[in-house]
Amino acid sequence: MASIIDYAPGDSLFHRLNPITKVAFAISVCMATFFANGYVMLVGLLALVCAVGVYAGIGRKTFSMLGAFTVLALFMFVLQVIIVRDGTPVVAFVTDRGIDTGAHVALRLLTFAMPLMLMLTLTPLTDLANACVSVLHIPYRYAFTITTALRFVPIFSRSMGEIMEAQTARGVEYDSKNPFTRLKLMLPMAAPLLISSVSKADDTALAAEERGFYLRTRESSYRTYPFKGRDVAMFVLCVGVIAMGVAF
Amino acid sequence: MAHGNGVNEGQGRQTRQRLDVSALILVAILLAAGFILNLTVGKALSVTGIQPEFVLSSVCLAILLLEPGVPQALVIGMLGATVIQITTSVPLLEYLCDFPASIVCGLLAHALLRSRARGVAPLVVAFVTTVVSGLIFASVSTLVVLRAPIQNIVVMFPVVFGTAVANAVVVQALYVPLKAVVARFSRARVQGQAQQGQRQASAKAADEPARGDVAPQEGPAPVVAPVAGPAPGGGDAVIRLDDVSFVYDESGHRGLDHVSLEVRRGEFVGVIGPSGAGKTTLAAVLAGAIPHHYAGDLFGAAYVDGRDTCTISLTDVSRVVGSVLQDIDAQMVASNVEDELLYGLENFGVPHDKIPGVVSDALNTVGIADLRDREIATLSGGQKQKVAIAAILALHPSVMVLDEPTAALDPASSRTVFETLRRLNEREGITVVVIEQKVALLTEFCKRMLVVSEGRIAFDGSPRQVLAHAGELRKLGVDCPRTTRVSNKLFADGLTPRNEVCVTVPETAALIGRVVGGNARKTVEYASTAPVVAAGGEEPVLVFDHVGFSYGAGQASVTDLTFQARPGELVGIVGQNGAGKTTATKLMNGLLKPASGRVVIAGCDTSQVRTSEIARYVSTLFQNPDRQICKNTVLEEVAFSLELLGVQTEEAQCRAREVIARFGLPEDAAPFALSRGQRQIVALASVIVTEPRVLILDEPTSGLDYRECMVVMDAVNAARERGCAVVMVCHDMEVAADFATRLIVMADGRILADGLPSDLFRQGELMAQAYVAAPQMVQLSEELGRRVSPSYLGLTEVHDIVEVTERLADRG
Repeated sequence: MASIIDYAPGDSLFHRLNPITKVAFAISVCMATFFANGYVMLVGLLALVCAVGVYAGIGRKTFSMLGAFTVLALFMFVLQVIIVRDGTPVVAFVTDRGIDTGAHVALRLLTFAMPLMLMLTLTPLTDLANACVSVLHIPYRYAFTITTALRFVPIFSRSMGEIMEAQTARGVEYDSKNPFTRLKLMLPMAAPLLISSVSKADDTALAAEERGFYLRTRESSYRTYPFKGRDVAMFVLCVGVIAMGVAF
Repeated sequence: MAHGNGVNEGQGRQTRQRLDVSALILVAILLAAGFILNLTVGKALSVTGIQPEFVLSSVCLAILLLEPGVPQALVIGMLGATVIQITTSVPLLEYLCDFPASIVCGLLAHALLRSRARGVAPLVVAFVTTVVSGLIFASVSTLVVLRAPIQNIVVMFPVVFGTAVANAVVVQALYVPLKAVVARFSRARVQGQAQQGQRQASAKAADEPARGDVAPQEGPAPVVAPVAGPAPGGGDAVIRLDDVSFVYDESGHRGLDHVSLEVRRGEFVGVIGPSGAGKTTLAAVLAGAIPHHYAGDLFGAAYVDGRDTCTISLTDVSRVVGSVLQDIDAQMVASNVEDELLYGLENFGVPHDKIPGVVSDALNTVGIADLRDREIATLSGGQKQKVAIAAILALHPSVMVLDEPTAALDPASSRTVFETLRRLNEREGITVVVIEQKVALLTEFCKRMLVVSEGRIAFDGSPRQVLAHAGELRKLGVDCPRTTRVSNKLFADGLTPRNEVCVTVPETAALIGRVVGGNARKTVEYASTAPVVAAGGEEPVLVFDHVGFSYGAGQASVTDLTFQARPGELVGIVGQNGAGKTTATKLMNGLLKPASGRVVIAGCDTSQVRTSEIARYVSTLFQNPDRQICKNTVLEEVAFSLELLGVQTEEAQCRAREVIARFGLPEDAAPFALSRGQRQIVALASVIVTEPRVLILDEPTSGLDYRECMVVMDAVNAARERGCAVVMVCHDMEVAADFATRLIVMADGRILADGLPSDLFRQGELMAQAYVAAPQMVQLSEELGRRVSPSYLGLTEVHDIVEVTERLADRG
C-alpha cells in the first residue's frame, strides 16, 4: 500500500516545529545553495541537512535518500565533464574546468534535493495543509482538495492492485516486449481506475456538502498552528543560512 | 413543483465563477489517480526511461473536462503542482513550471473545444502543456538550480518531447470515456450551490395539484397493508412525505411515484425492494439530497422536522437527518478517524472546547474508541462503516438514513453494524431508516418495514405483517427468509389457524412443535425430493496437492490444501474472513504460485506456466465488477475476453452478441452507466463467453438483489451443466446450500472438511470451528430432529419440512 511520503513519527525539535517553519527552513537552505559559490559552503549546507536528519532520528532514511540522489548526481557529473571542454585537459577529453563544473553541479543537486524531502518526512501532510490554511491564509477549499487527493491515494493503490490482478487473470500480458503493445494495454489498466474513481466523485461531494463544506469559515479549524519561540529561533537561523550562502 | 436545476442552467457550458465542491473533488480524484498511475503503470510503460507523467495528464484532463475559466485553470494547475511537489525534491520549481503551463492549457482547451478541431483537442492540449512545463523545468533547473552550462537543456529536450508525446496519447485515449462519465454526473446534479431564495419561490408552486402533469399510473394500484396502530417506539412525525414524486432529469426515469409516508420519532424502519425500485431515491428525499443535489422535478413536498426541504438548505436538513451512503470509501473526507469526526463538528461551528467531549462520546457509543488514532485506509470494511456512523452521530442528528450499509460486508461485520444501529436507536433515541438487501438480518432488528417497488410503497407495517405476503413479495422480486416461507406455507395449507409469521429458527421450531402437538416423537416415511448430483467420474480438471503459501511472516497463509474439482461440480468454499479463501482462489487462477505443493489445472502445473496462459482454462469473476470493466460498450467489453485469447475481433463480437442476448443486456450501453447489478452481469458475461474449463467465483452475489442473484446463479449452473468445474467462495449460506454440489470448509488457512453440503452443514462443531452459520433450513431440521421427530433430520428444503410436518400432524 503506497502512501505518498512515509511520515516518521518522533519527538525531536524538528517534529515539534510548526509545519510552515520546516518548509521555510528547506526553502532557505535551497536559496543559500543558489547563492553559494565555494565547495566549502556547498558541502557545509549538505552536512547541515544530513545533521538535521540524524538529529531528528531519521538518520538511516536520510542516508538512503542521499544514496539514491547520489546516483543522479554522478550522472550529472559525468554529463558536465562531457559537455565542458575548455580549460586544461587532465585525462583524455576531461578538463579541470569540466571536473570543477561537474562537482559543483553534483553538489548543488544533492543540496537542493534533500531538504524538502527531509522536512516532509518529519511533517504529516494533513498538518501541513491545515497549517497553510491557518497561517498562510490559503483558501480552505484548496487545502481540502489536496487532503482529499492524499486520502484517496491508498484507496486507489489498493484498487490498482486489484485491477491488475483482475486483468492479468483475464489474460492481459503486461510483460510484452513491444512498447506499442504495452501502450495499448495501458487502457485496461488505467481506464477502470479512472472511471470508477471519477464515479465516486459525486458521492464524496454530496457527503462533504452534507457535513457543512460551505459553512466553513477561517475560525472553524479546531487544530491551530501557533508560532512558538522555537519557530522564531528557526526563522533567525534560516536568515543566517541565507546570509552565509550569499557571503560565501 | 420545484425544479432542482440551480441558477446556471441557462448558461450552458459557460465558464464557472468558482470551482464548486464537486469540481474540486473531481480534481482531487484525478490527481490521486494520476499519482498512483505514475507509480504503477508508468513504470510498466516506460520506454528507455521516458514515461507518461500522469499527474500532469490529470491536470490536462481536469481542465478539458471542467472547461473552467483561466483563473480556475490556474488553480487546477497549482493543485497539480502541489501533488507533484510532494514527491519531487526541489521546492517551488513545479509551481513555476505549471503556472504558465496551466494558463496555456486553459486557453488552448477553451479555444479548441469550441472549434472544429475538438476531436484532437485533448491530444494537442496535452502535448503543448507538457512541452511548456517541461521546457521551463529544463531551463530553470539547469540555469538556476544547478547553474550548469546551457547545453544541459538541449540534453533534456528528448525527454521533454518524449513525455509530451506519451502524455498526449494518454489524455486523448482517456478523455472520451471520462467525458461521458462526467457529463452524466453533471446532468444529474444540481449545478453550483443551491440558491435558497429561488427554491423558496418555486416551492410555493408545490401546493398546486400536480396531478394534471403526471403520466397516468401504470400497473396495478399499490397494495398498502393496513398498519395496526402506530408502530412501537413511534412518537410525532419527524419526517413526512406528502404525495412526493420525483423524475430524474438525467434519465427521465420516475424515481418515486406519489409516495406519502410518515416516519415517527424513535422508529427503526427497514426498507426493502428490488434494485431500481426507488429505495435510493427515497433515501435521497429523506436526507435532502433531493432536491438540493440531484437534478429533477420534485412534485409534492417533503417535511423534515416540520420544515419543507425545498425552502431550507441542504445543511439545514443534514442537521436533522444524517446520511450514510452505500459506498464506504467515497463518503469519508479525512485520512484518519479523528479528523473524520472533526470535519463536521468544525464546519457546523460546534464550540472548540466542547469538541473533544463530543468526539469521545461518539466513538464510545459506536464502540470504536480504540480506533481513534488509526488511519482510515488501514481499517476493515466493518470498522470503516462504524467510523462513518460515528462521524454522523457526533453531529447529533435526530434521524439516520443508511443506504445498504452492509452491502460489501461479511455476515459477522453486518451483524455488528446492525447492533450498533440498534444501540443508537434504543439508547440515544435516534430514528433509524435502513435500506437493505439482507432481509433476514433486517427483520431481526427493525420494528417497521417498508417495501418499495416501482417508485411506490407496496407494503408498510411491522416485519411480520409484511412478510406474511411472501408470495406477492416474491413476484415483486423481494426474497423472504426461509423460515417465513415455512410458516406461510403451513398457514396456506391450513395447519395453523392464523398466519404466525416466523422470522427466526427457534420461533419456527416452536411453531412446528405446536402444530405437530401430541404426534411428536413419532416418525414418518419420507424421501427427500432434493436432487442429488452424482459426482462426475471424469478426470479432475483442478488439482490441489498439499499446497502451501504465505504472504510473509505473521500474515495470511494457507497450509496443506488438498482437493480436486471435476467437470460438472460446483464446489462451495466457506469460512470466515481471513480463513484463506481468497488466497486459495488466487492460487487457482495462477495469480499466486504455490510455495509448496502443486496446483495442476487441465494438466498444466501453474508454477510452470504464465498467468496469462492459464487464463485459457480458468476464468475468474471477482466480487467487484468495476475491477475489470475497461471498455466503452458492453459488446466490446465481453468481446475483449475473447480477443485476449487470440480470437479475431469479428468472431469475438459474434460470440459476444450471443451471450449478451442470453442475459438480456443492452449491447451498446456504456458499462459504467449501468447499475451495480447489471455491471456484475456484464462481468459474468465476459467471463462465461470464453467457455472456460474452470470458473472461479468470488462472492458473485454480494450487493445483488434477489432477481439479479438468480440470473447470475442460473448462468453459473448452466455453465456447470455444460461441463465446467465451478469453484465458488461464498458468504451467503443459502446460495451455497442451494447450488453447491460439494462443500469445502476452511479456517485458519486449512481445509477442515470436504464433502456434501447436506452432510457438512449438519455438523455443529465443524460450523462453530469455522465461525460459519449453517443455512436456516438445516438449523431448523436439526433442532426439529432433536425436539420433535427424527424424521426431520437431513431435510434441507422448505417443502420437505412442511410435508413431514403435515404427515406427522395427520396421524392421529
